[in-house]
Amino acid sequence: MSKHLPEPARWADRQTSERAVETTIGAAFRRVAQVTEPTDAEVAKVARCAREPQRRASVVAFGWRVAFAAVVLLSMGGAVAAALHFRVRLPVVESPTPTPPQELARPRVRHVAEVSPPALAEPLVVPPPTAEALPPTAPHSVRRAAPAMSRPSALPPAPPDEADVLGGVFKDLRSSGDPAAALRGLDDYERRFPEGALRSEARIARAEALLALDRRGEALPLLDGLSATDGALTRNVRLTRAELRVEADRCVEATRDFDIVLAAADADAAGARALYGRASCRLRARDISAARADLERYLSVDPDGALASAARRALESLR
Amino acid sequence: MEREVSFLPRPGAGFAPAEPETNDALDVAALFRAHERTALRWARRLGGPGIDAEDVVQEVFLIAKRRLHTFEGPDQVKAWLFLTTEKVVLTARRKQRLRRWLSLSSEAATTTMGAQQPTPTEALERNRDVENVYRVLNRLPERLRRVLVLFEIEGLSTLEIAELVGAKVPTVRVWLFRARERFLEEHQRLFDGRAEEASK
Repeated sequence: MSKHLPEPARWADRQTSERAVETTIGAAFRRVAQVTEPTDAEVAKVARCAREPQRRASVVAFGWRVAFAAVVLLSMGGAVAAALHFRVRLPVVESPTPTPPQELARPRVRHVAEVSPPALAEPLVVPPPTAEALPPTAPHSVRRAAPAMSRPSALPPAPPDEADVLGGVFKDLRSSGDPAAALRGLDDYERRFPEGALRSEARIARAEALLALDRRGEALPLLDGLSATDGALTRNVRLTRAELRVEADRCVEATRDFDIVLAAADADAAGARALYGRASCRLRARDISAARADLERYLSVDPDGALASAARRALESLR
Repeated sequence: MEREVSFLPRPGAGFAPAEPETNDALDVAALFRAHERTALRWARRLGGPGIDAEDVVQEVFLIAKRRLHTFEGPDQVKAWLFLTTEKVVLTARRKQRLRRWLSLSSEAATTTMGAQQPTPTEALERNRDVENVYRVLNRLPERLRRVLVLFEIEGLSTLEIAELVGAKVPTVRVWLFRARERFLEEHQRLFDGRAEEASK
């Protein structure tokens, strides 16, 4: 799949970028690369020191031997003490009759979150696995040419290419506009890669397909299952989850998601959606002043947006 | 091919060059010597400030010395060295976190990173950049952190990264995409809020 796609452009190679933050980060990465490049003197020092580890290792080995000996002696002492103790006690303590272990297996109960069928204003927008990383005009820039390497035979064998399978799913979903085929592809993916590295992406793709089929109540539990530490829980995915949570009347959790989305930025399209969503939650909680502030901010960010008229009507009613 | 193996000492050899056992072992040993600089760079870049990269490299070569007999050829040395360096760095970072938690480490975090000899102002600027980059990187999951370091700092292509870490190129690209998303999010979370506070 990726053989025909260009190499992603590095932030570190960008002198100017549409996003100022990427230029800044690129400059910082360049400085890190510069600072961490070893000098000849440092390499020579490592080479000199590398003659010593055997001595260091012998010191460490001696330490381990002492520690091991201490543990053995203590264990032996303990064992002797225990033996003496039980030799005294054994005649007066009856040995219990061994009983067979009780079977405690119970059927596992699966809790499925019940969600009301909501109506989402916008479709789930999630990045395809390789879309951002593969800009169409990215130059193939490798700062340091590295020799071709063959895969070491001592390493575990490479897994089957789950990215290709998932790429087909996203093609069905995005290019062909066939969410039902995407769901079939996802069933196949999950059968073949139950512990796949991209299962979070697969989960998001399934949620997107379900939303496209208007099976919205099934989408939310999938997104609920994404953890905060999961790289797949991007800002857009979090935003969609928050909107679905609002529709499911779970405003506390939704507001938490909206806050995180807005912590990154509130002046872009995702930020505007988050402001609107948070305002609707705050209205439900009767937090009128906070709702008004969110709606006003929303209108300043996206005055001609699809939800602008609704926001204006809400503001009018609050006055 | 250089035939000195003194950087991988044998028991009792002291500082004197050791006698090679076989030509194959000698070739692999020479390859390690060829990768010394690379291993030091990997250790620094994967570890970040506060990690003693020289200790890491020594540990890696000690492990290499023990495992010399398991190598089947020079092709696998680089990938093996990378994975071993990564594991040793990970252990060192865990220890560093533990020490920090126990408040045992009072040293400035960036003291081990200065490779060049800049002016004091330049050094301050560089150290701040390095510290900030690693503050964000350290909030990323290990897999994403690794791929971002290799791509942006080490300057490897996705194909080279895939070969080093033993993954498919599309998988590496997905990791890279996720790593960049997470990096931007964490960067904004860490520094934008601070900038707003400063402006108030």
